[in-house]
Amino acid sequence: MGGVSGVLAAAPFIAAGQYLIPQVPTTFKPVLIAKKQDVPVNGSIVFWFPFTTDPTYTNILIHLPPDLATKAGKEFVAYNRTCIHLQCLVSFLSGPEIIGCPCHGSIYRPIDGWPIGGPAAEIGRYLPNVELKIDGDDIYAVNVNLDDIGYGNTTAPE
Amino acid sequence: MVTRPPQNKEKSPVQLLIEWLNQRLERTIFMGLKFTFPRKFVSPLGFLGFLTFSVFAILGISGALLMLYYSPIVIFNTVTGAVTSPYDSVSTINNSLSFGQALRNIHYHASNAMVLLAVAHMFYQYFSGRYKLRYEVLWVTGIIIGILTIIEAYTGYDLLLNVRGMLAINIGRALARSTPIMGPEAFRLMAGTGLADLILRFYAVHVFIFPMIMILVMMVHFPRYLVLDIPVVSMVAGIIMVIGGLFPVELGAKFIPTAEAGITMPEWYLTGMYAIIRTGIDKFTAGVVIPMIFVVVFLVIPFLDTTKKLSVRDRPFYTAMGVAGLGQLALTTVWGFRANDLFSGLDSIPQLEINPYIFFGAVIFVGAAAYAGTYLWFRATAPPPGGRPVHARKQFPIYKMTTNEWRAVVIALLGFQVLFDIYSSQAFLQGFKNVLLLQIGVGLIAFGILVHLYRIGAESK
Repeated sequence: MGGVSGVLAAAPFIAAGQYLIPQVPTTFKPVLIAKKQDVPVNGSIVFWFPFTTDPTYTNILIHLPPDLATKAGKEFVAYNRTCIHLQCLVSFLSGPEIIGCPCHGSIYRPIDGWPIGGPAAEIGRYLPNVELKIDGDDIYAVNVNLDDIGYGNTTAPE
Repeated sequence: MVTRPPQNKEKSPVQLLIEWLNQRLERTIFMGLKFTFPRKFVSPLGFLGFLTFSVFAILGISGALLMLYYSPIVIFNTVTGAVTSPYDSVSTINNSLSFGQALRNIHYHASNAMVLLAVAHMFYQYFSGRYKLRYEVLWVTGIIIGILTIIEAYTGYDLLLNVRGMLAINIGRALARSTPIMGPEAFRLMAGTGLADLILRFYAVHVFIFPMIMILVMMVHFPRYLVLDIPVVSMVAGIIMVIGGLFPVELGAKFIPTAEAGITMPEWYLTGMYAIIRTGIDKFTAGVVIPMIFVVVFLVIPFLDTTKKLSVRDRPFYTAMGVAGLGQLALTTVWGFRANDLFSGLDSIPQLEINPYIFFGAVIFVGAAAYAGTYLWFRATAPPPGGRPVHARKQFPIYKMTTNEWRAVVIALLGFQVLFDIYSSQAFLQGFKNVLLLQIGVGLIAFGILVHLYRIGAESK
């Protein structure tokens, strides 16, 4: 009986788990990240979203060159920069038109963030995409799945 | 209060004070421990555990002093790209503060020494069979303290937030996130909502939470009989400082998210794990499951080997297992520093990926070779049938000093220490930071030798 009572007395402390594992929102206020003319064709910019506490919250906005834009069905795409292999920060390389990781040479496809080379290709998950909203000339970042950062998304971006 | 009549009027006030204290300490936990101060040289292998604890104490003191200036604050300026980072405060400690570099070096080299001593302690106790026959609790708590020590060291070198620390953080986060169940939760438990949280968490873990847990587990792990060998303890402290003076620890490059990271190595006690991760097999298997197998095997050994035999020769299976473990640990640790080809250095990114077939083949080969080698060795050196010969203890010829020689050496050592105190104060005033630490270390070693001479001198009288 003493044991049962002890368990019952301790049970409410399970809620303290939320103190250890901070709850983060799943929807965010849209953030204006760039004007369309700020990003040249086949160029990219880096922006912070949704927080500014960690470089894993940096993302790249890519203005796809025409051939890739046709394939992707859109002109602008944005991905989180955290490599799904070991969390280094990837960049868009305009020469070979790929997203590359400087640490272990992972390569991603700019049209959807699918890994096509290096250790990330063996993992086989998409680079998490940042959902964009384009309003006239303004590009807003709307959402990103935080649980996929540094891990990868199992579904292709819409 | 009852006061005892004085037993002996010849006693000095100091002796009386010690007696008075001794009687009062009877009421405390300390009298449960039996400290032995060896009267002559005994092999330090027998008290590696206490040496590990001594280094833990050094780490506590140097770490507490480092806390006065360390600042675990990370702020990213999203406009200018500037990073306010703990690296800045460590840089201040290292470059601007008097004795700061010395403290940092003591703390760093002591951490390496603690891991090394702990591993040596574990293997010595293992080969001595001191994990069974009522040693089970000591053994299991020891393994737990060992794991805590490694994690403690890991959180420590990440706190600099240099490029090297960031690589370790990234690997740690990727491993946490790759946990099959509760992956996002495990990740957030470690990282909070970002790097700023992570550094603060690592800081709390490093300076308070883990040391406290370690002290609590040590209370169970400490045997009742402890050997406090002042000469060896001060020699170990001295050696740590001499090494710190000769090989000062680098600050490394500050982590800036926009700068490209080169190849950096984890600390040597993690390169084994790093090598396994570099084979490219599933991260969770490589970084968590395989190291855990190693730990669990050592954890359950007392419950598998239940014979009463203690000699290495009488339990060849477990002796071979220890040799295999030691060999595999050495192989993977060295491979972590090397290229895919074990015999060439690591200098470009494509060499990072290790061929898993060759790697695991080599690991298995080392294990098998250890078994074969151990059994063959025992067979080749087996005692003749019908009882084993009584090994006469080898007597090493020890030079016995005359009283005058002894006095001369002690006085020379004292003079040496005076000289080195003068040198080190000069080095301090002139800002020769490495020389300062080296000389402090030499002074401590001299002190160790002197105390040793004093005790053998006292013995011979």
